[in-house]
Amino acid sequence: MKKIKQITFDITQSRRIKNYAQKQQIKEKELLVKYQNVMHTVYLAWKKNYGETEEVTFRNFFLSVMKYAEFAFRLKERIDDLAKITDHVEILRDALEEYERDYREIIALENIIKEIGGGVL
Amino acid sequence: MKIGTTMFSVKFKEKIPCQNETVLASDLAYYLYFLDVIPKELAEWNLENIYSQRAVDEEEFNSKSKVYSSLFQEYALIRLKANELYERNRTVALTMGLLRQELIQLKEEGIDLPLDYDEAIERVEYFIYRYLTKKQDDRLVEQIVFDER
Repeated sequence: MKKIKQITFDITQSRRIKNYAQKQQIKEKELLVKYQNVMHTVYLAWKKNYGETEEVTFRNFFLSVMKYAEFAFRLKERIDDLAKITDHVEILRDALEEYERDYREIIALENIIKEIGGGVL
Repeated sequence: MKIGTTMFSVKFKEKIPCQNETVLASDLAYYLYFLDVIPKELAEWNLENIYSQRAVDEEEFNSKSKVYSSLFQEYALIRLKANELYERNRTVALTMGLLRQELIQLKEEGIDLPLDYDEAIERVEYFIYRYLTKKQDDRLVEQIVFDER
């Protein structure tokens, strides 16, 4: 099996890395170290469990890890979104309740004025 | 690790089995966003662990999604209501102005009503200030957009 010690990203991929680093406000170098560490972990896990027999190819294992990570990321996003919408709905509920209460008070005043047949109301 | 001006590369800690470097580079670039969520325990994991963890996560995901979706419905209804209020407030504003005038006039005329004039005027003014001016309660006006999921 062919083995490699290094991988080079093409210009488009490198730009993607650069953009993501900017978005995360970290250095590209940190992302590359992350890649290095992740690949190290994936390799260790694969070697420990399957390396000797190669019953699971490295690529297959790598993709399973990454697909899992993709899902875990979506779960994390969902948890964040849920916290955000929970807070916001709470704020809206309170705001609406307060409005309804204030409006009821005003309508009560209006009705008192109407009862005495006041002016233009 | 060498960082070029336009092309980055990663030096691995060990020799990684790889049949096709183009495909691996493309995969790594694609999965860039998800690197942070790879668990530390992975080093101990085999495929079964990955699948069972995924099953646990999926369950959590589905239950969270259910809550999210019901909150989203409530959010959408309140937004709708807030928009209606905003529309209605344009007509309400006129009535409130008249109501205030009426209260001031009745107070001056000394008409006896089952209300405290000063308090009532204050309340109407508060309502106008709070809901009908540019200083209005921005909680209902503020647009935070959520996606329906």
